[in-house]
Amino acid sequence: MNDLVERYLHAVGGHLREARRDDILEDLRAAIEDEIEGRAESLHRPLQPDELAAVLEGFGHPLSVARSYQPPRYLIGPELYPDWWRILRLAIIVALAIQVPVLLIVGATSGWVTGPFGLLWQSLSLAFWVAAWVTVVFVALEYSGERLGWRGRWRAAALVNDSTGPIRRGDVLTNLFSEGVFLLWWNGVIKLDQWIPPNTFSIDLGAAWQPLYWPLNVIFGLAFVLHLLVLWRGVWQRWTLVTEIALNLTLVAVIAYLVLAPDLLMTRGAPADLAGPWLERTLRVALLVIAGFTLWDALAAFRAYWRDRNERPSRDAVAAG
Amino acid sequence: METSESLRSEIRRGAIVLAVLGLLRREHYGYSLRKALAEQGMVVEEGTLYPLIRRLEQQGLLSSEWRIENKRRKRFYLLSKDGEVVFEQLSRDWREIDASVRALTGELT
Repeated sequence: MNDLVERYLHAVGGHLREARRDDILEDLRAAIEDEIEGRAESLHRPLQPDELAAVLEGFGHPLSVARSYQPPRYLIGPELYPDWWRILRLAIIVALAIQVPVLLIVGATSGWVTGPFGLLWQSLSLAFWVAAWVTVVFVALEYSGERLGWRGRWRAAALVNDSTGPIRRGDVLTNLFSEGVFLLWWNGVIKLDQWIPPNTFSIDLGAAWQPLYWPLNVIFGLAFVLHLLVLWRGVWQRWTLVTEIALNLTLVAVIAYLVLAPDLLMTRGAPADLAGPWLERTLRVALLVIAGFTLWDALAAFRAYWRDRNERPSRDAVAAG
Repeated sequence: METSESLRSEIRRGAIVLAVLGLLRREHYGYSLRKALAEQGMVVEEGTLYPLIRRLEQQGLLSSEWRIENKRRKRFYLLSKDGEVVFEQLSRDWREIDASVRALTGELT
């Protein structure tokens, strides 16, 4: 056998798995010999070196030949890729939606030790690790042959019965951010009064807030879970809209109770005593503004729900027609 | 033009499988098969044909046998029982698609 052919087979063999190498090379050797012999027969003479090279070039680059003899291999194949991309984005968004506010608040309350570049670096680092772990899980799924079945279970009827419209991602993320920060503060994980020098003055919540510890935890906890779910699914559904309306109206009722209650704040110390009435008034105005936004959210959710409810008969008619 | 090449390649891919299965109702070795295809106007590159034959054999559609011919070992391929069934199926599909496409593109008028 020609030296060039031997070199070619050796080059192909370098890209093959050892278990199948001999078998494939024997096959390939026979195929190349077939070609050389066939072309020599048709020319009625042995092949010249350039004609021999042309035969090998017809088979292709050794790496391409080796690849063509093996089944296609992916880290994440086309079947799993859409799931990987969707879950990767969601996991990064949720991880950052939790971490960034916490870092900002910790920085604001305990001094900016790391600075803005530190915040950026920690966020990028988290995003990288989340992406790496999601990818590792999907590579494991790819190699185990497992597939996520949720796209296969989808029915077109869900477009009519289930979904009332796509979400505004920015709105949902803003809600998640504010709810997360509130829950952390309300449960004492983060403190906002560390800037006050010790033994000078203090500003605390008044007695009116005490009965609201569990109600506010439940309202904001449910809202946080609801918005995570909506972000995950990418659409509002009827039941999520109804829950959103109920939570918003409950929150408005709680705010109304607070606005009407006496002494929302307890102040101690000279500067706080002086500013006490102003702080009290500012807080009530802020609560009214929050109530306004909350009512607006409830109204928007109600309009989306109502629109879907009224459009249903015409859609059904189209489907029936 | 790249799109055109890619579309042509897609059409040819299925046709080559059918043609190879059809020809291997009679025994062939690699080169004789490639030559027979070329004689019918279907030129298939070596780098495409040989891996394809091997894949079809692994799928159980072809059987193969090493034999000495002209003092050289050659691998001969023949359609297996399963291959015959698949070939009949594919041929029927091909004829139906051909008829539909001809009608759709107006070639029958």
